[in-house]
Amino acid sequence: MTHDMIPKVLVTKIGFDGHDRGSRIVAAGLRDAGMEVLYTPPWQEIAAVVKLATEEDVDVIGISSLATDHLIVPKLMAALREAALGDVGVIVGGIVPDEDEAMLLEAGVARVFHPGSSMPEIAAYVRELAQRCRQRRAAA
Amino acid sequence: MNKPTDDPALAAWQAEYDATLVGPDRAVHNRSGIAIQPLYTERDWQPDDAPGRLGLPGQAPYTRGIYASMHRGRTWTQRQLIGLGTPAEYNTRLKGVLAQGATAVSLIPCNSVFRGYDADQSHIELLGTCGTVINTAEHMDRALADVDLARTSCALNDPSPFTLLAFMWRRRSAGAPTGAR
Repeated sequence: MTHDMIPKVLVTKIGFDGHDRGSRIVAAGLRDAGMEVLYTPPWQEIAAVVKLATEEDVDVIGISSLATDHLIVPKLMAALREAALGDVGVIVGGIVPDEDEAMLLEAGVARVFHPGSSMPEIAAYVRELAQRCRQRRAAA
Repeated sequence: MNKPTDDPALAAWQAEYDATLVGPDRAVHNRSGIAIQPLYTERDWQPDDAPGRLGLPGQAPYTRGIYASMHRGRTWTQRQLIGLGTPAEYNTRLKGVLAQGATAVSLIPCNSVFRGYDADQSHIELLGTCGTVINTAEHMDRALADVDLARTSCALNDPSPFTLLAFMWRRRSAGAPTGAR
């Protein structure tokens, strides 16, 4: 495992909300930080995200949620585990009430980014998470 | 103002203004207690002036507004955006804000409705979290029950064709006019 690996990240939105500014900004920010980024429009089905993650062999999935769509992230986590993708890191960013954050972490989400998070902070975390996930997968 | 005038445009304005007002003209005062007339024109400064090119409210070229009374006859609408839970929950909340002084309705359908999904096709976790679940005309009836649609302005956020149709049915069965205003 080298430290100059290029993380592969999928930035997407599941559920019914279409506010995609955040996911666009984060996708562009991670790209500018030197990562390989796959971006999708909003309204993705959970099965579509799992399929994309499988085919593209991503290290990290970033879910953007601005209007309660984070409530179905536990379903995504279960679907990933079922597809033997339990070692893919999942982060959530956007509007997540504090009481729901605990629920997401419990479901296996690595971290929740709230409004005010800086791009360098997100990028540094994703880089570190991607490395961990790729190592974990290589060891498996 | 409110004095006899030989200006036919002004007389027409006065007639339309009087006809537009529902009930007696309410007195309007500024913070200094000075009464505010419903209309001021050049004549308030120079009594002999002919009407200028600006025109009068409710008259071409409508520089001063499209109605003779504008917000004097009908004040700003107090309309709180509401959309939550089931139609019954929405109805309770709506009647609550109307009782608190709101003067109009805003209805936000659930995002699942907005995206064209039936409730039984949707993730149950999301239903009613971002708007009111309205999948049938009956849901619309329940959401707007006991609201006087003939007298209350209604706004629908991002209506799908179905939502709009259900809403129009509800308005028609409530005896409300269906023309735009």
